[in-house]
Amino acid sequence: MPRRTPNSGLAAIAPPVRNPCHTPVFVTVELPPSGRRPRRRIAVGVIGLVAFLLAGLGAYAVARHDRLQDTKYCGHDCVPGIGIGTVVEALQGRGHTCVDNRQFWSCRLSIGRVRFEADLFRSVSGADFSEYISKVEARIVNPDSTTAAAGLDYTSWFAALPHRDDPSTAEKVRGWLTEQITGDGDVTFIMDWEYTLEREANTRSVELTMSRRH
Amino acid sequence: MGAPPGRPYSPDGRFWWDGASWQPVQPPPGPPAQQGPGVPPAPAPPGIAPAGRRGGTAVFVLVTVGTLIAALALGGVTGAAVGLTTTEPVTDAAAPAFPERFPAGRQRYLPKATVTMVTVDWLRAAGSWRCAKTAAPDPLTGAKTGMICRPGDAAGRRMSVFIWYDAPDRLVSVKADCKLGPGTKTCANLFAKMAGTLLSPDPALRAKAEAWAGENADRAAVTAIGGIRLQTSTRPHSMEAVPAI
Repeated sequence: MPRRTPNSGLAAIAPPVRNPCHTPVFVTVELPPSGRRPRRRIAVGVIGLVAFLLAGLGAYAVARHDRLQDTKYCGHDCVPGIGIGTVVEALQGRGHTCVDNRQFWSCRLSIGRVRFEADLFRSVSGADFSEYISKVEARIVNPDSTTAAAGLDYTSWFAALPHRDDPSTAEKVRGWLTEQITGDGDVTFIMDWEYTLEREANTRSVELTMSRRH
Repeated sequence: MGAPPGRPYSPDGRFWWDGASWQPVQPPPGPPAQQGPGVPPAPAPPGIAPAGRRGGTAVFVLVTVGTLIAALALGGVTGAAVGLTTTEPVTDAAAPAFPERFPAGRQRYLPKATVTMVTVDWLRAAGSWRCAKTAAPDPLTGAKTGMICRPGDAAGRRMSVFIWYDAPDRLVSVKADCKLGPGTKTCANLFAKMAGTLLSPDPALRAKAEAWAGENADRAAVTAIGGIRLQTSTRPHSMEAVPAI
């Protein structure tokens, strides 16, 4: 009968006592190191859980952002997520006078001889006009050296409408306007939008046109 | 471990007799002896994994990588599905806040100035000035109502004051014309009085405005005092007051 030797990881079978010259046969069995496999299983489980959560959170954030920017309701041709009526109401609350011309809203404010004029064009959805903005024409008529700051704030507010949730892009638009509003004008493309600033000598005006880039 | 002294050993020297059974002789500490059949393997030196352990590690790595890929794919699909189904597109958010200098309706009017201040406190008190309302709004400022004031004496055709307003306490602009030409004291006084009247609610600003208008009556200049923009011109010889933007 096998007897346990003092070396606890090995089981030894002793030879018959009557034949001590016979070479004894040892059967070696490596016992599993205590707790190694369970620890590895736990580690794999933790790694998988963390990867699942990280991938899930990342995909959720991307999908949510994409959903919030969804423009299907206005044919991918509008300032996303804000109705033309909301913008008009905000301007009226600021003291501007607005008139609905069906295809576009016109908002005006005169301070002395300086006129601030904005035409907010509705996006076209089939044969109808949707309640979203596809193009903005913002003019400052009779500007002078003392109206530059107000003119910049006026144009940059409209220009930043598509990027109102993206401060860095909004700041980029404002930076471009700051450079151009006292110059002769220029065209630039920022994200999906085209910006044109023109100075009209005949009408003594500066006009910003903002439209979706196609 | 060797046998106690005096105990018999087997002929090959690998067992010793404890009186009841044969016991294996433990090898002395030192370099491992060459292993023969049936001899238990010597333990591996530290740092070198046995072949069995190396195989176990490879399996562990494979299982981990597979789990990682599966978790990433499953998590991505699940997160995207949750994001798309639980988020409705924003169709009408609030309008963004206006910048500080964005033009406002309250800037349309001369601060604290009224029609009475101009027509009664200044012009009527100055003598025989007469005022008459105009029929049409001002195309330049968009003011709803206009008023033209002239002196009743011989200078009546030489001087005039135009007042444009939406309401008696909402003056849009005031302009004084003086056809006597630059260099005349009468025109300088007219401009100084006009500037002082519009800024009369604040005595300090009133004095400053009067002084500026008197000094710049005969040249083209512009300034802003107390929220009012004053601009003089020589052709035509005039001074206009509008809100400063």
